[in-house]
Amino acid sequence: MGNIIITTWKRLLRNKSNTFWILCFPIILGTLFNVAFSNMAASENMEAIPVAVVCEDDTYGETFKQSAEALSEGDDAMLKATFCDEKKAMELLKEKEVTGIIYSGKTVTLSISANMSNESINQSILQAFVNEYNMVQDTLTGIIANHPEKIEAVLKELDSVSDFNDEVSISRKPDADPFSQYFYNLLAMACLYTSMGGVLVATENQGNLSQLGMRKCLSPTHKLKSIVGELFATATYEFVLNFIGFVYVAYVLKVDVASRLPLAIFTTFMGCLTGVALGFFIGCFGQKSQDFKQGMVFAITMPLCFLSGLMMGTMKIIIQNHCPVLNKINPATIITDSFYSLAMYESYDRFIVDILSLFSFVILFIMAGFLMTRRKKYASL
Amino acid sequence: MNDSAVKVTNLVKRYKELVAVDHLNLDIKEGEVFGLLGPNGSGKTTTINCILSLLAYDKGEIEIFGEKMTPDNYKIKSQIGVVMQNVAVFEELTVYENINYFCGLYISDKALRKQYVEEAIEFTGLNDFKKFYPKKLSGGLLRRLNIACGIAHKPKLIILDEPTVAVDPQSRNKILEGILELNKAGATIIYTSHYMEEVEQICSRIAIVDKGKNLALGTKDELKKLIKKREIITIDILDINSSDIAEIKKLPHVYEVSFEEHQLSILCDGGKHNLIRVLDFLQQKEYSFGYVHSELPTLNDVFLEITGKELRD
Repeated sequence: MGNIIITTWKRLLRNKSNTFWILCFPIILGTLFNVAFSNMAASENMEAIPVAVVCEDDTYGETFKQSAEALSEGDDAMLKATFCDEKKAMELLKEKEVTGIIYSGKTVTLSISANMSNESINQSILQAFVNEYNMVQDTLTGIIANHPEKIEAVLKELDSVSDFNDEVSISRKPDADPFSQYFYNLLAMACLYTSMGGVLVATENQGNLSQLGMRKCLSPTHKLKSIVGELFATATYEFVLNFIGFVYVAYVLKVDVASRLPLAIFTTFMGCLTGVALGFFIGCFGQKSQDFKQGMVFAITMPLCFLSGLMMGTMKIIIQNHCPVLNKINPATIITDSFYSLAMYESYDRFIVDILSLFSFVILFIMAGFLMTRRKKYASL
Repeated sequence: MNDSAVKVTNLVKRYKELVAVDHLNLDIKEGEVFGLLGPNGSGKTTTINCILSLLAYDKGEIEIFGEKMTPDNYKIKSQIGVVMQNVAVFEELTVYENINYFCGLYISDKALRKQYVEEAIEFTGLNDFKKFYPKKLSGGLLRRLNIACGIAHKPKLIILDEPTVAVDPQSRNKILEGILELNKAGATIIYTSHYMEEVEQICSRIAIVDKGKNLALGTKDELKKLIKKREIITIDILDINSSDIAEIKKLPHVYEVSFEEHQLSILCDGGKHNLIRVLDFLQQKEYSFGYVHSELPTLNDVFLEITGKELRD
C-alpha cells in the first residue's frame, strides 16, 4: 500500500498541468471575485431591504411581526417591512416594490421573484435571515418543550428583541459579508475539480481502459487495495493544493472562512474526498476514453456548481423553494453550506448534517465505482 | 518429460460472430521457450489474454502450473511476468521508479525489491538511464524498460507479446539474448511474434496459428518436415531451353522448376546433394552460370504451404 500511495503522490506532484490548475484556479478566480465584489460593495448603498410580510398564523405570526418591526426600526434598519395580505404582497413583488415576501406561519418562508436578478444580494440576505430565524425558533421551541424550567430565561431572551437588530443574535456574524457565499461556492468548486484525479484512478485500474490498468490487473495486488491506495493518495494530494487555495482565500482575501479553522480545513478535506470519489464513480462507467470521462466530469460538476450559486447567488434559494431535494443531493451545495454553517451558526447541527451527507456520498461513490470495476474478466480489451 | 507450465484445452473465444480463438489446444512445458507464430489478427494476443484471465472466453480450460487459472488466483499471478505489446509505463516516473513500482505490486519486501530492481536494470542494460523519464528514451530503450517492468519480480513464467515491434536491430538482438538468458535462469517463456526469424532464433517449440486455430505445432525442424519443399536452389543463368528445364525436373527429388528473368529456381522435396546434381547437369550441357544459392525452407514457407498465404500478409 505504501508503495502505491508514495508512487501516486510522486506522479501527481510531477503532473504540472493538474497541479497548476488545482492550485491556481481558486487563487485566480478568488482574486477576480475579490476585485469585482470590492467595487460592488463600495458602490452599493446598503439600504433597508423592502419586504412584504404575510402573517399566516396568529401565534407565530405575532412573534415574527415583532422581530420584523424591530429590524425595520432606526437609521440602520435591515428591513423595510410592509405587513399585508398575500394578494397585496404578490402585487408589490410583481411591481418590484419589494425584494421578497416573507410568510410567517409556524415556519417562516421566503418567496422571491426569479426576474429580480439585480436584487440577488438582498435576496440572499433575506434568505439567510429567514433561515436563522427558523433555526432560533426551533431551538427555543425545543427548549420550552424539553426544559420548561428555563422558560423564564427564554422569555427574557425573547424580550430582548430590541437588541435583535444590533446583534442579529441568531447569527455568529452580525457583519457577515454578503459576498462570502460566492467564495464558499468557489472553494466548493475547487474541491469538486479534484474529480479529474478520481477519473484517472478509475481508468488506470481497469484492464479494458488502459494498458496500465491491464498491467495492474495481471499483478497479484488486489484491485481494492490498489484503488483505495490511489484514491487516498489523490485525495490527500489534492487536499494540500486546495488547502493552499483555502489559506489564500481566508488570509489574503480575508474572506470569513477560517473562524473555525480546524472544521473549515476538515470541510475542505471532505470536499476533496467527495470530488475524487465522484470522479472515480464517473470514471468507472462504460468503456469510453479517459479524456471523454474527464470531459463528462467537467460537464457534470459545472452545472452542480451553478446550481449551488456560483454564478448566481440566489440559485440555491430558488432551488430550495422549487426543488429542495436538489440542494440535499448536490455535493457543491453541501460543501458550500458547510462553510456557510461554520461561518454563520453557533450550532453545529447543520454543519454535522452537511458533513455526514458528504461522507455518505464518498462511501456511495466509491462502493458503486468499485462494484463496477471489480469485474474479474473483460469481454473485450 | 517436463510438467506443463501452461495447458490450454479446447479454447474458444468469440466476438459476436467473429471466432477469434477456435478450439485451440496448447501444452507448454516448463523450461521451454514456446513461440506463438501467426500474422497480425491471427488470435495470438487474444489467446494470451485468455490465458492470463483478462479476457472472458466462451469455452475451454486453462491451467497454469497445474492449477486452474482464474482472475483471483493470486498465487499463480505472482509467478507470471507479462511484457505487453504496447509499452505500459508511467510518464511521470523515472526508469528506476517505474520498475520499482511494478515490482512492488509483486514483492513487498523493500530490500529484496531493491535488489530485484537493480538486477532488472542491469539485465536490460538500462544502468545509464535510471533517472531518465520515459519520454526521454528511444523506442528501443522504452521497450527494454517495458520488459524490465514485466520481469523484475523474477517470474517463473514470462509471456512476451510482440516485444520487439518497432525496435531497432541492435535493441532487438539485445532483447532476444535477454530472453534466452531468462530461459537459462529457469523461466518458461511464451513468445508471440509475427517475425519468423525471431521465433526461429529463440523458440524451442512453435505453434503456428491463424484465424484462432492451431495449424501446426512442433520444433522448427518438425514444422519444416511438414511441408513438401525442403530445399530451394537458385541459379543465375543467361538462358536455358525448355527441354533442359524438363530434364532438370526429372532429377531425383526435384518437383518444380521455373525460369524467370535469368534466374532458375528449383524446388526439391528432400534428399541430399541436390545442388551437386543440378550443377553437374548444367556443366554437362555447357551452360555458364553465375550466382548459385541453396536455402532450406523458412517458417514463412511452412506458413505459406499450410495456409496458402504469406506470414506477413
